[in-house]
Order: sequence, then C-alpha cells, then structure tokens
Amino acid sequence: MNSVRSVRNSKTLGQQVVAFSISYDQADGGPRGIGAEHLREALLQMARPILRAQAAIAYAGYLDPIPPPGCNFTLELLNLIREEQQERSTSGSTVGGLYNHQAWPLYLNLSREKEAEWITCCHIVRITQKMAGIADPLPDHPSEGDEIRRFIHRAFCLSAMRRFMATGCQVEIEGAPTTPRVIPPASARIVLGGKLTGFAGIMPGILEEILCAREAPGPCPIFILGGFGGAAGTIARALLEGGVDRDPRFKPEHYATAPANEKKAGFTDLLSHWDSIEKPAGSRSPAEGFAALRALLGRFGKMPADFLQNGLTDDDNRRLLTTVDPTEAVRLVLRGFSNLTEEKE
Amino acid sequence: MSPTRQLPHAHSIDDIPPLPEIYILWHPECAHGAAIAWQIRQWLRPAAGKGPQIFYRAESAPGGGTRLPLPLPGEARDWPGDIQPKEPGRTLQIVIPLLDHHMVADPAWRWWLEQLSENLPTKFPRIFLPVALTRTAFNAPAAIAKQNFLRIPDVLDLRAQDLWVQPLQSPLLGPLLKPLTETLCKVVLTEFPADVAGSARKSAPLRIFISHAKVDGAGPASRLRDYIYSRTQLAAFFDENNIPYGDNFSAVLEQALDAGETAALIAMVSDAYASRPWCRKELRAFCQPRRIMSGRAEVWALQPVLFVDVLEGKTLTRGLTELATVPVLRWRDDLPGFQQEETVITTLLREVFFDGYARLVARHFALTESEPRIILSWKPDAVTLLHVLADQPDGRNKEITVLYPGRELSSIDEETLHELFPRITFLSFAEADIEFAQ
Repeated sequence: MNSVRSVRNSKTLGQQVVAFSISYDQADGGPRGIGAEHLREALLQMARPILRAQAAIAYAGYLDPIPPPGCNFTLELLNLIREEQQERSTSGSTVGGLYNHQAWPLYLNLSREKEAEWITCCHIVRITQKMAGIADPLPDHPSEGDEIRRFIHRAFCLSAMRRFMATGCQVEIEGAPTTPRVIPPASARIVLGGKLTGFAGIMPGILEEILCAREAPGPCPIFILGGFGGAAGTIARALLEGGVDRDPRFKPEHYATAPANEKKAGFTDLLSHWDSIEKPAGSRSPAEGFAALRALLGRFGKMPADFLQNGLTDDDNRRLLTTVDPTEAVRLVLRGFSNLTEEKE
Repeated sequence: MSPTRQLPHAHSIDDIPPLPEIYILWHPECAHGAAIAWQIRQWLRPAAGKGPQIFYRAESAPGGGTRLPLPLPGEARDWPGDIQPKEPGRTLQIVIPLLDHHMVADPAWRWWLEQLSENLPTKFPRIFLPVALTRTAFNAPAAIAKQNFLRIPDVLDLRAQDLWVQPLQSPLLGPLLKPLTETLCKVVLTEFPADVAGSARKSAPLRIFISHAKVDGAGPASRLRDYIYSRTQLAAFFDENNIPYGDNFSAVLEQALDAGETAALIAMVSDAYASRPWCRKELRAFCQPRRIMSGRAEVWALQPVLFVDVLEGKTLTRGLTELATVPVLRWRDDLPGFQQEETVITTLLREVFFDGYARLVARHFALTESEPRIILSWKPDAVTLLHVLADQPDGRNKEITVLYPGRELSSIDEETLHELFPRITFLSFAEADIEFAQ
C-alpha cells in the first residue's frame, strides 16, 4: 500500500493526535524562495491523510484572519476539517478535528461568536494561569505598570501549554457538574519554520516544543522540515553538524540583545526580572531550558534518526532536514508515518 | 469503441517533453514583484498536484555570501551548506523574470541573468518568458531581450492592495495571466522534446470551439469569438464562420478532434441548449475519453470544457451529464469593457494548461511504471470511466490501478466510485508521486 493510503487507512493513527508547529517568517522563507503559500500547500497535503485516518491535529495558532500574502494556518486547517466533515456527513463516517491550544492571555481576545463558528471542528484548549501553576495570577485585563509581569506570566503559560501538548492534560468545564475533559498528548510532531526573534516564551517556541516532545514519557516521532529555515532550521543544523555547545543560538544571551526582543515588554525584560519574580513550582528558566535542549541534542549530534524516531532512515532525515522542495518534504513525512504504522500493524 | 488518436510513439521518458517547473525572479527592490509572483502562483498552482511546482527567487540567499538569490538547479553556483537543492530530475525550467529597472541595472542581477540565459544546462532545457514591468525591461541582457516579452507597463502605478486579491478579481488577469497561460499552454502541448525550447511550439494556435444553441441567439458566443480574434493568439471555431456550407458542425468537430487540432470547448448553456440534439451531439463527441498512449500503462485524455451559464430562466431546462464535472462560469452582461470575455477565455486557457500538464505527467508515469495502469488526464467520474473500461477486455471487472490528476478524490466521490468499480484502486498523481518515489 502506498504512503498516503497507509497513513489514511492506519488503524494505529486513528484516535491519536498529531501536533504541528508551523509558522512562516518572510525573513527565513524569502531567501529560500518560499512563500507562506508553499507552506500552506505542504500543510494541507500532510494534514488531509492524517485527518482521514481519524487522527486529530493539535496546533497552537489563533483564529484571526491574515490578509495575503500572509496565511493563517489555523484557519486553513479548520477549513480543511470542515470540508472533510461535510463530505463525510452523508456516510456517517468522521474525520479528526483540531485541538487548538491557546495560552493566557491571548485566548481572552477570542470571541464567543468566533468559537461558535468553528466549534464542530475545533476544541479550544485554554491554558490558564491556574493550569500553569501560577500562585498569584494577574487579572485578565491589563493595567498600567504590569507589562513585564504579564509578559513573564504569559511565558509561564506558554511553557505549560507546550508541556501539556506533549503530555496531555485535563481541562475543567467551569460551571458544569462534571468531570474535567481529557486532552490527549501529541503522539507525533511535525515542525517547520518558527520565529527566532520577537518570541514570547522562555525560548523560541519551536525549540521548547521539541524539548517537551522529547521529555514526554510516551514516544513521539518528530519530523523536522529544516530547509525552510527558522527555528526548525536551527535544530536541523544542530542535528546534522553537532557542535550545539558552540552554537550561540542555543544560549539565552544570544537572544537578549536582538532588537525585537528588547522591546517593552520582551525577552530581555524576562531575563533581567527572572530571579526576582515568584515562579510556579517546577518552572524552568531560559538558562535551564536552553541547557536541557543542548544536553538533549548533544547526545544525538549527527545521528538525526535516533533523535527523531520518525520511521525514516538517517539519509531520509538528512534530506528532510535540508530540502527546500515542499513536495519532497511532504513525501518524506508521509513515508515516515507509513513506516511507523506498518511497524505497528 | 472510443476513437483513438495515438501520440508519437515513445519508448522512454527521453522521447517525451520534460515536466515543467516554474521559477519566478524579481529584484528585491521591485515594488510589486512579490504580489505579481503570488498572483501567478495562485493562478497556475491552486493546489498540490494541479499545475507545476512554482518557486520564487528574489531575496539574497541565506548565508550572506552573495546578494543573489538561491541558484536554480543546474547552475554552477554553490548552494548554502544547510540547504539541499531540489532533487535533480528530468525537468523543463521555465524562468519568468519580472523585469524592471532594478533587475536590468543592478550589476549582480545582470550578471546572473546573463549566466542563466547564456550558460544553458546541458541535461535539461531552460526557457525564458520575460515580463516587462517598465520600458527599461527591454535593456535586459541580449539573450533575454530578443524574446517576445509579456508586458504590463502600468503595473507599478497600481496600489499594493489591488494586487493582493484572488486572480479572477485581479487587474493582472487580462494583461498578464491570460497571455502567460496561453504561452504555457503551448509549452505543455508540445509533443516532441526537441520542440520544447524551440519555435515549433509557437506555431500552431490553440483552437477553441464555441458550442451554442442558435435558437437562443448568438450574442455572448459572438462576443467571445470576436474577442478571441481581436485580442488573443487563439483560433475560434464557431459554426457560422468556420464550417463549409453543406457540412455540419459536429462532423467537423469530430474530424478536428481525431486530427488532434482542438484544444478546448466552451459550452454556452442557454435555455434551449440541453434540448437541442446538435448541441448534445457536439458535447458528447467532445466529452469522449480518448486513448492517447498504449502499452502496459495506458494514457487516456479528455478535452477540456468550460460551461458558461447564459441561462435566462424563461423556460424550464435540465442538467447535462457531460457537464457534470466541468468548471462553470456565469455570464454577466454588466461587466465593463471586455472583462467578461477575458474571464471566460483566461479561465478556459487555464483548464487547457492543467489538462496539458496532466497529460504530460500521465505520460511520464506511463513510461516509468512497469505495472499495468490506466492513467487519466482528468478526475474520474462514473460515466467517463465506463467509456474507458468498455475498451478493456474485462470491462468493469478489471482489477487495476487508475491514476488521476490533482489531489485525492473527495470522500463522497470515492465512495461512489468504489461502489460501482470495487476492483479498481484509485490513486491521485500527488499520491502516486509519493508512492513511486519510494
């Protein structure tokens, strides 16, 4: 059976969750001859067979439309899910949906109307300050002078969100006399692009997501499409060339002086206020986060297949980590999934 | 039995034209370069597997070694260490430079254009379709300047927000997308590899049949014909002008089909169209699958058709089986200038281009596959598939894989086909590309 078919007919993939980390940055894509529309095409080609296998998708994006040439990947996924749902409505079969993780305070901007519009395709997973273990939460509405604290609380919530995407979590249904809803962990992660400046957490989001995926107790194959640059490209280079301890991009100091991070409030503030702020139990500082990632990658330098555990050989992974051809990247990801499902079935 | 018009015999993929891939080049300081490139991609590659791959070259390549973008495959320049070029294949590189004064005068870019146009790769062809954004474009390096340019001279005066719109609403539809699509049609319809980069592909005009019910008047149909003759390099085939007295339209149409002359048909569906036997006969002749390549893997093709709705609603009419899966446009008399004609013709040209590209991909699959396959140039439906299988020894009971263009079938289409043809496995070109590359 071919790769696409074996993915969409996979029994083991059904009921699983495949997480996507995808964002387009013109500064990375432009020099590689790639626009957001290339990533959109690749995303839809990968997502369709996954959804048809009745697996769900997890993606931490927002629902506000972006005018061209930008592309809102969350809305693209939701439109795909709606299209697949409508096509299947006549036969009674189903397709997977989207777990849309949103960390405090950004979900506060989400209107009831917008959520209602997509509720049959999408479950919004709100990661609150309480879920992040923050003992002294800030009010939802900002007030003058609390910008830096809000930025740091947001970073705690983003770290919690990334952890929960990897391990699963329970979300209380507030006001209803029922048990919390269980949000399953991601059982695979596909990574491309990703910001390296102007990020909101303790480190660039994709780096933290990969760290959480590897630290989670369950197996989580990772597919890194590194040729499109960004944070995924940074990880790709570390896996291919090793030397992560010498690479400044795996140290917080590198990001402290980037202009986009010096804006108020930003990563530079987070670093300078870190020691003085009350932190949730078990929270990880930027220095600890980067150190953990360096240690992890250092163990697998030049052996990408061992780190990624994605059903692809080292040679295939080398191409996936470096190709700028979206079609080839999709082909390799589906091949990896196909190999994984064949192993299990 | 369906009529068969075989393409020139091919023993290997070297006997057929290579698969095109498009590179759009613009200078990073060109005001609307990114928007124009985006328009072209939206138009020619609306989804995976539909139309060729399209890549951009504008910004400096990563690594800072040069101000120039990433090389094109086959160039002597080095690629940055952390990026792998696209896997070399047997391709036709179609280079579309968006020429403005920045591209013409910037020494680095000028050097690059000279390299690209003078040092052509030996292993595969590269052709240029230059687009002039300014008068200075014609001062491009000699090998490019001697080409016939596509011209959109006022484009730089447009506001950016007018360009980031869907192609059918775009001011570039007529001036750029129409002639570009027409030129690309000739490229994908070229039959011999040696003609791809030469002038032979430019000689035969595409022929457009306009099928209409005379009883409802020839207004929109004549407008289309006049537009085709006055503003395109196409040829229209319209029964009032092009049929010798004493012949009938349908016979001439079938003759032209068998000779491989025709490109496409526009069905002007008015109130009386579905009830006119000659209209139905024309349509049926046109919508008949034709085997264009034999062997263990057979390639079947269907001529592209566009359904233009000119219904007035004065009488009750009915649908037509032949038009069940073709694209539909509504005719609007209120559009200014030639906008309506332009939309119809440019949309039809795109269908011709997609069809030509699909036929080419189909032939590549046929020549690289050792397994028996039926390869279609259209997305299968029950009726056309029955035509194809009627020609097979086991008919509907044949156990075989059928390949078709574009992405996967919708669930509902797949279920329907599975009920009717349970022994057939359907595989899209996009799926087959992934599968066969294993």
